[in-house]
Amino acid sequence: MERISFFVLCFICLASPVSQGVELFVNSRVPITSLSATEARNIFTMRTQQWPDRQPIKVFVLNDDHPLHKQFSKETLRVFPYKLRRIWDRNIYSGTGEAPTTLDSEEEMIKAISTLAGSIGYANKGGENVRLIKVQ
Amino acid sequence: MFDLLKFSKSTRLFEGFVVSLMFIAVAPAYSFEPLEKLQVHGFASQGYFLSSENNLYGESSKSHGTLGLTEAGVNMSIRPTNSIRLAIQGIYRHAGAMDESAQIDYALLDWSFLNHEDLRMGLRLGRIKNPFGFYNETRDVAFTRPSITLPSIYYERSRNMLLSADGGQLYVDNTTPIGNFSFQLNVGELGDELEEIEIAILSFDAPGHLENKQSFIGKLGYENTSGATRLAFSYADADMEYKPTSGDFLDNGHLNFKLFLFSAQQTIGAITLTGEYLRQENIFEDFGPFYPKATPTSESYYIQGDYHLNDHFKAYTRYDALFSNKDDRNGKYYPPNIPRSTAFTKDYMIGLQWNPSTQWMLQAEYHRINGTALLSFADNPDRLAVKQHWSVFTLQLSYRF
Repeated sequence: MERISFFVLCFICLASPVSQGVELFVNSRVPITSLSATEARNIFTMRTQQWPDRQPIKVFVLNDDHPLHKQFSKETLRVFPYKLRRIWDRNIYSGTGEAPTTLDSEEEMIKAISTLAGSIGYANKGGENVRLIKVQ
Repeated sequence: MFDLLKFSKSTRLFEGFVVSLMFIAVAPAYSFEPLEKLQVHGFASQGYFLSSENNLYGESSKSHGTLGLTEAGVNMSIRPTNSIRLAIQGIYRHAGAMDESAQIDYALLDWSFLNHEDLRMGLRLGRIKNPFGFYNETRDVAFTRPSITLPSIYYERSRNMLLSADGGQLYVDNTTPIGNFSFQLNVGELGDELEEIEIAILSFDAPGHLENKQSFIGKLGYENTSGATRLAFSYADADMEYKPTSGDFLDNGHLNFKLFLFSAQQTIGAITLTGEYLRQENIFEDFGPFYPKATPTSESYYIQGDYHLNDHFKAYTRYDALFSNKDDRNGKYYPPNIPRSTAFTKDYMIGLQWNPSTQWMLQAEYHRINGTALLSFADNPDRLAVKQHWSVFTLQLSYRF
């Protein structure tokens, strides 16, 4: 029985495609190369509003239901998507803050990050004028 | 300084309108880039209430129930410079016989004069929501509430007292290795529709009326780095004055409310536990011989458990209690013309929330209630007709953008 389960497990491992990691990207003019998970969380909860060079941070996300958003939220930020939504709702409906700009696709995301100064977002792979940020 | 910013009672709406016009004038001038334009968001929700006895948000005890709770709002926010933000929200609200109005919910200028990575400080001026407990600042927005209606700490009677302040707010936000600390202090004039409080305190609709005086509301908050633990302590000190009519049998009385609110929340995996405890010290004095000085202390608290079944469903349950006078929890010393059940409310609730998408939310709840302290007088004009034991079934559909 154990043997069978072992083979089944191997089969599942081989058959499923290697899940692509979600990566954090910033506009290439943003002067950073890495962030801690806490710093990333503070940016995506709209708490930190400026980069070290004082230019304003522009945060982009995909829809709450987008698989990449769920993956980014849970794996990179280690927060449930509904918790992020709660925080953004508190910001906008109390008048004390803002919510990130929601985009529809990864293509739009990369385009926004590559063209707008101070922008941050996430995607499976990068493009021109964007920099990959390591989350430690 | 606050006088300049204060929206006088009768002109609250008008002043809000002026602020909106300012927005419309300022907004286009600062839309440099297409994605930097102003943020616009809104919400709408419709509640349905069916009760076995007593009325909640309309005639809920009639056979078909009531659609007596409707809430809708639109807000805008724009950042013309790095440190200045302007934000405004207008809401429409229909709540049974208590409230049907359109109001400027907040309209403020936010100046963040210190903006470091770890420490942020600023001032907000205008009409500012009062930071009180976990939910007061967004109490009319279904998506931010833990249930269809808020627990009794936030009950309708004190709504107008706690809603917002016309004045200023100082805020501090400090990120440390162990988590985030925040502090907000509001100084200003609170809301002015106080009929429900007046009846609750004087136990009848007196000929004169209550007026708010300058008040303080502050909140100290802590959140650990993952956001799983949240703690807060809120304090409010509100003064009111009774303005008698000519020939009134009551004198120019004074009321003082001191509210101490402790809030705690812990998330463990898919489970969230939330509890809040409010102690409210009241002083009613100088009303003359017909209303001797009284200093009752009220108490209310709840504990709620939320279980997130998956990304779309949440099941929740709550025990919520309210005692108008903690030294007379059963109303034993109430005068004979007031039912004893108005001294307390103990509410057991179960509920289910469904979020088919980010935009939509549907909730259903069942409450078993012992006591009538949270009933509004507007919806239950015959105080002797209230029933101590009752139950409520309620639904709410909400949309946001």
